[in-house]
Amino acid sequence: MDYNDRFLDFLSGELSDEDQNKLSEELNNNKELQEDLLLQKEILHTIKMGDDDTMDFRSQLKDIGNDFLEDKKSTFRIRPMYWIAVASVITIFSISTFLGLLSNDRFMGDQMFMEYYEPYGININVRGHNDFTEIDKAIELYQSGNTKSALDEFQRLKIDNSEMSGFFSALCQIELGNIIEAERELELISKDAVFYSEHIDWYLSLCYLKQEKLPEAKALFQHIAEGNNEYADKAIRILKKLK
Amino acid sequence: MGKLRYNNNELLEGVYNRDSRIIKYIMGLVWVPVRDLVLQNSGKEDDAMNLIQEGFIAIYTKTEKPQLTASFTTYFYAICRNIWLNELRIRKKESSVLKNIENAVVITEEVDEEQLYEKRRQLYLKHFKNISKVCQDLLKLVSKGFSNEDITAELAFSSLQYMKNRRTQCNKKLLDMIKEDPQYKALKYGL
Repeated sequence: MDYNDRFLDFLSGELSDEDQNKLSEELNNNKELQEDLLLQKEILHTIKMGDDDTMDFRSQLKDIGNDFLEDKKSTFRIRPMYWIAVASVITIFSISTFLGLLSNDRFMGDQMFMEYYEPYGININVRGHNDFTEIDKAIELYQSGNTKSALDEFQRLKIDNSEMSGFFSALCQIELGNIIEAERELELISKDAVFYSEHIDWYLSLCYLKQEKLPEAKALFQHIAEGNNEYADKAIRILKKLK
Repeated sequence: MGKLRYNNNELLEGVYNRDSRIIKYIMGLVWVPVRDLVLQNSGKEDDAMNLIQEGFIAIYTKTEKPQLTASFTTYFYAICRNIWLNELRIRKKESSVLKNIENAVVITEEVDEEQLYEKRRQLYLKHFKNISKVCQDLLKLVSKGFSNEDITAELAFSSLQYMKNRRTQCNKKLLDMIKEDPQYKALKYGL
């Protein structure tokens, strides 16, 4: 394989670690080779950025993007009352679980739900001020604990963004204690989910758990455990406890 | 229930027509999921906006208009997700190799590098336009960080090896044309 092929593989992230180390050593002692790599990189960068018309569009997009972010620049943080509420809920859940463990050897679905359930996005900043998107406003309502109003908003917004609104509607239903409705909502959007599929699977499996639908829960936790996402470790731990 | 302000086709046309109002509207629709995707996968908020802009460019530079089988936002998100996965793969691999080289090749003279690059850019594009359409498509995908397997599938090549052979030919052709251009030597930066 000639050097330009190796450069292309390298710049596409296709070179193995071993070959990459070898190339790196060869480059260290060869200025001409270094120049060739930089030329190759610059040409690919130019192709990627596109012709003058595309460059002009990039400039336009940058302006629109800045404008968009400017509209959202006042960072909104979750209200202190919500943090207190969340902390209280988690504390109560933890104590309940602990007590539950003392009185029962076996974890039951409801207890495990309480141990593993956390409201989604409590560590996400929703940004915005004057020109919130409607979704931002609804998320703000959800994060501030105004769950019923948030649910109404997400239901209203479903037509424009069914997956995200459906997902947050389900989260609201969980917060309101309507687990069957949450399950129904999550099942509805899970098949075609693109944006939030990992989160949808996680909360759906918790809904199954809460209702002691253990076969469904196990199957979904198994699926999550085999994935490479933030919920995999938790799913593995739950599966061990469910055995 | 709320009303859709634009249908899928209007959103797509808005991108092709570079309609600022529609583009900003689309940003509002996709901002939260794309931002979450990036933040949850080793990125920062700045990356999210850059990614959205790359998503628009990807649509705008497509030679054929897509036939949407899902909603426009789903389509847009899928594009952003692919771009981000490619970006992560490349970031992981490039690591220190390029940094070392780029630091080694320091421009010692006081030259207006930006102006020089602009001239080189025009030179590269002039020759890029003169290679075959297949070669252009292939190198575009390479430049966007698509994996070899994805390029083979995207361009419906018969095999991975065939794709690699074509890639070699196309790249060599372009490099030769650039290097043989009389302007090239004068524009080389610190090289």
